[in-house]
Amino acid sequence: MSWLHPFWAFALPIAASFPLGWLMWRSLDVPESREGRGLDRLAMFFTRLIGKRSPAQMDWKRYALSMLAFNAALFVLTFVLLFFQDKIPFLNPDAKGPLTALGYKDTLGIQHDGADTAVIFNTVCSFVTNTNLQHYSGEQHLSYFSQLGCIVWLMFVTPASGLCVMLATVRGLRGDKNLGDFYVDLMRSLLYVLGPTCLILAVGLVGLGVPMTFEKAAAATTVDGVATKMETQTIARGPVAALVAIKQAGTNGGGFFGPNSAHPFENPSPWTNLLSIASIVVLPMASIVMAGLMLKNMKHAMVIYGVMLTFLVIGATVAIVAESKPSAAARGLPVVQGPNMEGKEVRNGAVASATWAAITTATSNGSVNSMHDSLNPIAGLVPMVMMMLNVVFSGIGAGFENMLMYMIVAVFISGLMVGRTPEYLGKKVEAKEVKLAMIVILLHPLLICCGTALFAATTWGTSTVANPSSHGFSEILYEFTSAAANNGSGFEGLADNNPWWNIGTGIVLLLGRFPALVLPLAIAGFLSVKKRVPQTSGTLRTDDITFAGMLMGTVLLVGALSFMPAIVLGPISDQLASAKP
Amino acid sequence: MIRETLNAVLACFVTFVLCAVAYPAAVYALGHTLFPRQARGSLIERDGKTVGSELIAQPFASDKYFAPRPSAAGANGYAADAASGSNLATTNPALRDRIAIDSAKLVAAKTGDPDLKAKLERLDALQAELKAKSELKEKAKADEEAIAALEPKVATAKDEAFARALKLGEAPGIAVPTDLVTTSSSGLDPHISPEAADYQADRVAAARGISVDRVKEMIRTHTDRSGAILGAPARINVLLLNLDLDDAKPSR
Repeated sequence: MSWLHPFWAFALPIAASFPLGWLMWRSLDVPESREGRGLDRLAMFFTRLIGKRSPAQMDWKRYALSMLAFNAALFVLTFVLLFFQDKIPFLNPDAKGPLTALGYKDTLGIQHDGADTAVIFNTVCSFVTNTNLQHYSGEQHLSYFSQLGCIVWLMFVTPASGLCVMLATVRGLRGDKNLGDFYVDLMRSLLYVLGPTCLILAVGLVGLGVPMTFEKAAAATTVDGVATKMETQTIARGPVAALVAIKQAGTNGGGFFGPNSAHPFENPSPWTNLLSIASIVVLPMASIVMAGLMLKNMKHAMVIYGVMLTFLVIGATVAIVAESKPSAAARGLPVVQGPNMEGKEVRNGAVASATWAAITTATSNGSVNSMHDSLNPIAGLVPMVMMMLNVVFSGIGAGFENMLMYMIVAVFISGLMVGRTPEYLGKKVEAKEVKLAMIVILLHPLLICCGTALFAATTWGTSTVANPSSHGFSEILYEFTSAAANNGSGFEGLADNNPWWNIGTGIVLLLGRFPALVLPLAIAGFLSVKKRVPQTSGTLRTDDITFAGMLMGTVLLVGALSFMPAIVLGPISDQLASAKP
Repeated sequence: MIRETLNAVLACFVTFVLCAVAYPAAVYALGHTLFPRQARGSLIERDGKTVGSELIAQPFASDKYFAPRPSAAGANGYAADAASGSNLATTNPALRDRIAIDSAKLVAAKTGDPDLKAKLERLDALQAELKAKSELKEKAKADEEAIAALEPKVATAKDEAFARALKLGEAPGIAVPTDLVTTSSSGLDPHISPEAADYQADRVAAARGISVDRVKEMIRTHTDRSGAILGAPARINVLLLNLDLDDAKPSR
């Protein structure tokens, strides 16, 4: 077992996150004196194109309203574009039919052809919420136009929306009355952060073997065609590199191909694998650094960064060790007892696959380079735990928002312990803020546990699982966890393309995203107008190791209390079953 | 409110042009100019015909070729327009059965053991019979009884064949490398491990009438160690190796 891969997979993004965080701070948090000067002129130009003569001064309500209005418009437009996929006459060389033509099997196993509009609802929910849960298979069901005009577009604007909300939140926390203009922030995020990063990344990926073409699928005459009864092989391809770059850098995770970054066209070599895994986590890391610079409180940001990194290192280590063990399925057979290779690619191997599994679920990315369904049970538990905690770097912007909720609760609990009014960044935290924070924190387990319970108890769930007993339960649990955490990976054996899964997870996706963006922004709005209390020797510090411990404790306590029963029924009992001789 | 809606819709158009038109166009232009071969899918041509992509596994069944890893993509595997893994859990009996049968077959081929071959043939026959009976639309009482009688027989046949294979597998070099009996996540993994290639070397050499040393030497030259500094495993591209074998000594 080699620890070289995890070393690079952590060292590279950590090293890059600091300069990138600084660049993000300089280009996104522009003071009024520099607004529209220098490079910022470009962002102002595009803002004028949408009918705004000058940046508005928004409070939290207007900011949230603008964000929601923009996302609602995205929802409607992409729904229409996807619905009429087969009617759009260009960029569809393989003549892909309508997405609804997939059809589905009902709970009794009867096939229904071409009647499932719910898959479009689910896809749009999934991409508007920056989740990228895919109940279709990209290379089989989407035209090149849909891949670019719906998927890539949303892959850019949804992480940008998250980043904007985070910018406004941090401005509120530091006491600004003016939280900025959503559309100016949006344009800046696209033009200075996501755009350039992805352009460089995408061209690099093409050089390393990822296709970028508008030609139709290639037809190859196979070498051993007679003996294998397969004389031609249809090789799907397309504008892959453009999609893969933003898929990784924007914590999106939806693949061009069904198996995502396990597909050799999305991730052809160890080099692309490292580049991908680094770009998955680098922007979420950098946005914490940016928060520190904006707050002029780098020590506090480093406490957050450190807590997140600790969780991630522990998760990755557990996954790597568990996955380097032989699969229970090969025990007692004439097979070399090496690492579990079912559902993995040789060029990645078990270590790089396990590292990826932890990092992609910690950040709300959700692209996969191995099939999580076939992971050893404990290695399969790690991704679930990462998504259940949902604060380990998580989505761009969204990660900070989630952690903020836990910080509010942590200072509240600490305040109760020492008998003082809790304060956060010099502002008194009162009942209203704590209530809102608790709503966000409790909504997450509520969505996961209720959804899982409903589907596990009915044929909606039991008729769609692909593996027997507790692993089948894990498939249902994983799907709802992934939807609520806006992650998008899955135990993909689950037959989830049918109306009840599509609508069920679609609703969970929306509820997992927007309350968790708007309510923290509201809290920041409330805090911004409060009077700053002077710091005394009795003030609970939020920039030292004690607070880090307090924060970790709060996160773990809430996570352990909410999810332990579900985890025991799923992966833990799976592990116990596989350990029997 | 109207103003808010107008802003949102206009912002959609502007971001659409930036993200879904300008950005892919730039990547396409740069990618095609700088790396034309990769941009089209790293296709391999022989005598003016496309024979495959360097990055995509294709099936090989003849003894003279190295076999790639098993594939779960599409109904018969290796469907490069419907990539997929098996998604079988480690605790799923179906996965265990599949690995057991595949490894027993490889062990039988490797050792030429007549006993194991006979046991596998018996198992095959019994399984085919059971499958035929259970797929009957209308089962008569006699059929139900036949199925009930067949099931324990199949189980015993399995136990016997697997036990024999396990016994043979104790000899050095007979146990099957893991990657040869597990499906990859895409079903299109173009690589196998050096161990998996060595395992097949004597079969390929015999079928081609060349020395095993010559084949092993070709395996060495095809072993890709790039990315070792990143902890990447050594690997061999099956299609490239097989094409090279054909070029070196046409076997027809």
